Amino acid sequence: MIFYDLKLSTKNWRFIHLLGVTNLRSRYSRSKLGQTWLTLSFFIQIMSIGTVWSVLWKQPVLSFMPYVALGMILYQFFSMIILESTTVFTNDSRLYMNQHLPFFTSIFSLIYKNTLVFLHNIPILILFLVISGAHANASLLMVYGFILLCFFLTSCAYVLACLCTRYRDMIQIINSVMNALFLVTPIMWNIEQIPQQWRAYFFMNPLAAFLEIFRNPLLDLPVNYFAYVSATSWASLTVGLMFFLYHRFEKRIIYWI
Amino acid sequence: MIKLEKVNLSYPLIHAGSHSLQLKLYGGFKKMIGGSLDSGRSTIHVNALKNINLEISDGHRIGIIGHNGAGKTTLLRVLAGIYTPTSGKIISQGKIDSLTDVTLGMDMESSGIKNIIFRLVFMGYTFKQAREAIDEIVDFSELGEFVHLPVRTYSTGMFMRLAFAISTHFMPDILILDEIIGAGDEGFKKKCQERITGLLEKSRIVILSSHDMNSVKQYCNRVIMMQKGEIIHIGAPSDVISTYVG
Repeated sequence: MIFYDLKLSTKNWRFIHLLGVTNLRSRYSRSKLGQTWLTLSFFIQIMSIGTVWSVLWKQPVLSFMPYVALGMILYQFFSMIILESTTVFTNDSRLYMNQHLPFFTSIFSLIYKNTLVFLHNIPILILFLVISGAHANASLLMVYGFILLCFFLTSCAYVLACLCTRYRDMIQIINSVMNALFLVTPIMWNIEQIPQQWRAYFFMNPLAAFLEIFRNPLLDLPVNYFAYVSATSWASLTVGLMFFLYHRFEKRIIYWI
Repeated sequence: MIKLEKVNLSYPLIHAGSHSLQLKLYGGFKKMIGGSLDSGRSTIHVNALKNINLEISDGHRIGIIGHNGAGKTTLLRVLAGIYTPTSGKIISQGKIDSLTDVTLGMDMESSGIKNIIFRLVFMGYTFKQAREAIDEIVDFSELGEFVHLPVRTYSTGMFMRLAFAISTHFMPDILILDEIIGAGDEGFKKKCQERITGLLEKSRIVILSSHDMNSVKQYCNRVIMMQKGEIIHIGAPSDVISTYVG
């Protein structure tokens, strides 16, 4: 059944595309620059944070800025999907009340929308990659990481969306957890600053793991293999949970929204 | 063809308390230390449909009547596949078009033209089909140059005219309607009525839930009367309606 629903959702790609795009556009409607604000405001944010922190940590701006920029762009992509998943079913409730649709429709449109946001930030990413002058060394392992990421984000979003629709307090819990996660994820600081024996523990945080998998090879930094162990475990865990919740609750979500 | 066999549907009434995780955890904790759960905390279930047996064949125009809360909308949603029966079987063949929310998928910030595409895609048509339908829809809605302006600048009447024109443009296969829809001023209303009559006459199956006995009499060839989640009468329109009104 879950595979049938997944297939049906991909067949509804037009629907997912429109849902994602209108959602994104509505935020910038009637502004002159429109979606360019996505890129602009993010650029300003990175510049200010990068400058302040490089002064604080007494790091050379030119090497620190690309590190922060890549970290923030990737982290925003992960965390926005997780944060927005908490209310995604209730936001789309009108759709589900008027026609039969698998709840994956909302999940896919959420991921699609945030992928579009991510694409808007690609120019910043390229700019800082050029500035850093690092020789990116992408490997086949990154492809594996990407597959893990797809599984993780889809299933994690579905699981959280389910739980948060049923228990509305979960929304606040997730918000607080995400706030805390931002601090324990090596975005503004480097994992090398943590004593060797503690480092592996930081990769128990899935976002830190995925960040390591994608950011570090691009900046030619070493990748801690714990990141792969953690990412694989988290992806399997959330996919397992997704199957479980789907079979128990997919038909009941409609009564909760 | 749509067939319901011994369909029952009950759903939890989620109120503020049962949405809260804290209450759930607290309840579990109390159980652990030997306290008793107070009875008010268990979720209340609504038995919305009870033992529904129904066979709808091609050509049927089914009217559903009954008081508020009799289960008409719930039954429509079960037929549309939105609600899954708690027990019983439902077999349905064909594409179901619910016209229960004619503005679904429309975006206030976009132009009328864009909204024609949005709405049609949300109804399950392709971009190509939607683009080809634009001219006729613009003609029908009589919006003229306004279709190039954002929908938020429209008056309510204009907006409804556009929504109606889009939603009724294509002939549905199985049509589900919650009350007869219409829009606009007197002249436009007449046009709407002609259009909706066309849909109701030409769709393969029509299921109409309504409080307006005249339209039920006019359009339906079989009427179901519901009460407290059960079908209590089913038969020819005049018979069932006279039981209901009388």
